[in-house]
Amino acid sequence: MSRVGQLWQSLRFAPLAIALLFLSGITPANAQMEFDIDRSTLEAWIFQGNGAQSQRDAKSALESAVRVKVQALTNEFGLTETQRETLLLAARGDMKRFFDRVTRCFAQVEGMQMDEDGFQKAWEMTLPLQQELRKGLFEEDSLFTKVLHRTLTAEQSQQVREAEEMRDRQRTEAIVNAYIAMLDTQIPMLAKQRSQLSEMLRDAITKLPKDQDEYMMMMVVYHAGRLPREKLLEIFDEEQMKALDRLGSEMEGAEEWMREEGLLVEPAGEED
Amino acid sequence: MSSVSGRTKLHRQFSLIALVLFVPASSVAQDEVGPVVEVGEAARIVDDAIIVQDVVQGAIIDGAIVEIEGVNDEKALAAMRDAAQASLLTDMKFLLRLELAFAKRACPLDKDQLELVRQKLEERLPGCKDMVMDVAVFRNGFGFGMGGGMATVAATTSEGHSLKENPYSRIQKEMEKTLQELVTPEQLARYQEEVQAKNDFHRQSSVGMVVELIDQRLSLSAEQRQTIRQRLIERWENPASISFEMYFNNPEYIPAVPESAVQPFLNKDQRNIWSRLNRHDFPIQVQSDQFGVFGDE
Repeated sequence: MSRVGQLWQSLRFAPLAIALLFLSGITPANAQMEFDIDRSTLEAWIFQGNGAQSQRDAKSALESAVRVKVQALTNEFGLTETQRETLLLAARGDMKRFFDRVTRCFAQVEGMQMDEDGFQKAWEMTLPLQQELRKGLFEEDSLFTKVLHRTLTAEQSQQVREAEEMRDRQRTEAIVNAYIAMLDTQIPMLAKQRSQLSEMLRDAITKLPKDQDEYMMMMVVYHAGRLPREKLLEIFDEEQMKALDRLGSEMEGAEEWMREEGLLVEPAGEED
Repeated sequence: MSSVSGRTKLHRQFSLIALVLFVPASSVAQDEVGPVVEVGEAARIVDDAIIVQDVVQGAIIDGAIVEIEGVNDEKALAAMRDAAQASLLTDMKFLLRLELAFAKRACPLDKDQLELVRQKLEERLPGCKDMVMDVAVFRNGFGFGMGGGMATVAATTSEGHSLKENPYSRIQKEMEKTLQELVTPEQLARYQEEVQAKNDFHRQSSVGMVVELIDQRLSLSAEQRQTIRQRLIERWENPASISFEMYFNNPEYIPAVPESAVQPFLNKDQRNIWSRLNRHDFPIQVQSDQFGVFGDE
């Protein structure tokens, strides 16, 4: 991970670690900064930011999420009972794989000395699990998705692809328009300008990665900063252009980091 | 590009889209307030102007103080209110310039009209102080910006003071009143038409974003998406006062949309997930002149 990426990760989670430390009542046990970290604390680190209070809660929420997902596929694409069972089995596999890692993490942490370094290390060990859960256990690289693609008939696969494309377009439109609404509070636009900018941005963004929700708005900001100036000049007045030029310069330099993080789907030079 | 320059620019960009971790004051009920400051400790209100250095017994939560002893209540309250109003007025001056720029685009104003509109609008700004949220009194002390623990924070100033009205909507209203006095009916009609289109766009974009957030969490069918979108457009009263970036970073939260627009259209498992989500509106914050549009004027 790049230094920018590391900085961003540390900026994102350092306050949370400190907040959790105090909220959970963890205090140094002695002058050498020994920390008392129990199982519930580790569970809070992994699961709390994902809407669950404990491992048990998280399992229950994931089981509901799978049932919802499979039911949606059944309703839309007419899955057979065998297909349903196969998918549920695959999802259970993804969950088992994840919770096995959680168990191993707990075992490792429980054997560690909880001084300052140990505390930091424990936090760093739980972080990837927290992030994986946040991204979703049944997304693109999951057993669930792989089995889904193998299980469907050719006709169902085609229907799923079309539905996903439609959903991607709707998703892009929603995020682009939310961004324009935000930009509109800084650079007030006329209806025609908003509409033209929305169209330009939707054309420029071929795909937004699905498992990086926290960067969605930043992705749109990035693409907005790369829109051809000559096209923008056809839409916006001098005062608005001044602000948009500033926006473009703000995003210079972000590309390298975004590419390293896998946020940019297309290779460099093929986006324009 | 070096990593260091990238870091600097990236940091600025992130500040632009306001990704912050905080505990919203409006989400904390009175009974949940617990003592975090011991007797004899100095305490201060988060990032605000007033410093309470007397003996304090009680709690401080995101700008609220409970159970204060030895503090001149009236003086402290007035200082807090003054700080919030000053912050609001600074923001409103910036919003005035933005709205003037918008009005110029919507209904071209000549130089004299522009100057008159500016003057008249500036005269109206002090009246906007009523947007600052009331000081709430609870237990033996007082809080600030809590609206009695019951009111909803509609927005915050750029310095984080709570407001009970969306300042972007308010400046539109003030501009409309001003234009009614100073421009032709045709000019006024063009302004009103653009304001309506703007508000419709913001409303639709908020609804679209909420449907997207719900879909991410509940895997909606195409029909459910369409139905919920329509119901939200019909029933959600104030969709444009929400900061959506917060929901990307906090998947356990969802805006407090009307239940009747969502819940009846979900299946049993979706309802189960829906019931676990925390309903909370992260209010919008007035952004200062981040693009430097007026920096050289």
